[in-house]
Amino acid sequence: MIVVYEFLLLVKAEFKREMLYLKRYPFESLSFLFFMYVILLAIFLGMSQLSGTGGLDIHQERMIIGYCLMQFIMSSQMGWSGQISNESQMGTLEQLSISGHSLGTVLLARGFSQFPRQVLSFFILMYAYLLAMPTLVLHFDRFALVVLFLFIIALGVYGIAYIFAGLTLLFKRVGFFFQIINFGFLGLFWQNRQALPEGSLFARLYDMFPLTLGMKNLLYVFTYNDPEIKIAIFGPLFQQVFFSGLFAAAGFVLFRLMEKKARQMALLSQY
Amino acid sequence: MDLSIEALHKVYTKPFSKKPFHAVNDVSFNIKAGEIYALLGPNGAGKSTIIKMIAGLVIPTSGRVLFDNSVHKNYKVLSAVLEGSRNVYWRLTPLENLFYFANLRGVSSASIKEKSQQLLAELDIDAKKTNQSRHLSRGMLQKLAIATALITDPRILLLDEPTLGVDVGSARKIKEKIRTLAKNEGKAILLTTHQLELVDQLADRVGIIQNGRLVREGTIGRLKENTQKFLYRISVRGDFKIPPGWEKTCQVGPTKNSEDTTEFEINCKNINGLGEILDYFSKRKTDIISLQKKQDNLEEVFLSSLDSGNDADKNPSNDLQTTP
Repeated sequence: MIVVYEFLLLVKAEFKREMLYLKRYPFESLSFLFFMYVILLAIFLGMSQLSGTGGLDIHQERMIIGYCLMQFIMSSQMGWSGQISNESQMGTLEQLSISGHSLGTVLLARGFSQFPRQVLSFFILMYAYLLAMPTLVLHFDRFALVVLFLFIIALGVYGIAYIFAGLTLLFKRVGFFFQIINFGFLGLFWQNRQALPEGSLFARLYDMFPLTLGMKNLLYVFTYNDPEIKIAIFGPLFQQVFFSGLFAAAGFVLFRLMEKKARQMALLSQY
Repeated sequence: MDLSIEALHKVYTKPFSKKPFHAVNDVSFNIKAGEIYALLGPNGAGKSTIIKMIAGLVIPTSGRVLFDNSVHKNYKVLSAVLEGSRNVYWRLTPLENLFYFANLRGVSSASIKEKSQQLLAELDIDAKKTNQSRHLSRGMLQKLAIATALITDPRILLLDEPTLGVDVGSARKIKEKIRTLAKNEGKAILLTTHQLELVDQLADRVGIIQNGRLVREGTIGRLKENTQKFLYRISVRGDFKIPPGWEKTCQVGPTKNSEDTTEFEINCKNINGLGEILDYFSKRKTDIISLQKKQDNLEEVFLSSLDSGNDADKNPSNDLQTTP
């Protein structure tokens, strides 16, 4: 009970800190959203120029959902590793490490406290694209289902974010490497799952990796034209819970091992 | 709560190098509740590594850290101020920092409302409590770091250079606070600093670290007594010339003549040297006006310990004795 109380207190403290930063530096978040928004529009513009007068033969919904999911993932993964980098310079990482919570627990609390802002950013971006491209067909009325999926996807994202954060603890300046990986994720999200040969290794991996699986499920929730979707979604939901949970647990264990190595090598305060 | 360190050892091996580096080498000491223990040593001696191993930030290669004679990992009993001002969030105000660190350590904001105000007032930060910490001076940040370490009322306090870069008035406040924490609140305090005056005024016991080894330990009084120096100031009547034979047993400082007296300092290798000099005066019926043993200050104790530490490094078989 005490552990749960202390974890909730930690989430509350992190949430409060998050809100204070948002209030004090609103342009930081807004400019990031605007930057992300413009990039995809520029990509669309570039693609339409390249395709000439024949028009675009692309699945716009998939591209937009994949892109918004990437920014959702980026803010977790890059956020955690960025915080590790910054706080090891500031000296606060050491304070977090002697707080009585493990660093992994602190990062998880940060993940939960940032989740509402990340969901809000996701929907703001989606809605902004919808305004720019009225031909899009997206079921915004399935808000609760989308949030539920985003939360479960986030658990899988935390697993990968743990690995990134652990690598940052050990090797420090690895931010650009992670950015390349994130763009790799975007490539995977834009891959048409239906086009993959059923039963192939790539298709199987696509269905097991929580981020690509999440992309498939989100696309399904946003675009599936059947009012009975709530019944049809149970299978994908459990599949997502299983693989996201597995990745979160594996990521946590790997982070603990890397954190132990960092403590052995006295790397917590080195940058 | 008592803090004990048993045979702490930390070895680093650099990549592509087979030669290990012993950052901390078989260090043991204990600090009782209510005691202030100061670790002294030159830069790179291993003081901060010891503090970090106690705090659990660095895993020792071997050895144990005990809280009340038992090994456990409840780091909530201790707080640490490590390298001064780099311990707080610069985009939060002092008050927000206190609440954040209390929550981080499992203490609710409501239960520290009064204490946070009291700590900020005691350390003279209350006037700036609503400013973002990035606007605070270095000294203020240092005091804030101490306040955040104290907000959850830890029983063991680790202070790495607590008055570094702090003005005289603030340093005095910090000093008073440290003394109160140990003597009135019974906290065990480990302090590292290069400010020997601070150690002289605060510490109950001192450990001198060199090249990762504890070369000397004891109360300041005992350390001063045990520096093995026979340093005296002698004042005799008349115009006295130092005879050449004395240099075999004692170093003699420059003489100072004033009116009818001659004053000089002698530093003998052992007590026999002083005996020979007194014999000399007695045989020649020289009138000794005063003979005074010069007490070493802590700086001399520290430097002489480092000298003996260096000797031991050159000749490892010549083990140094630590004074209990």
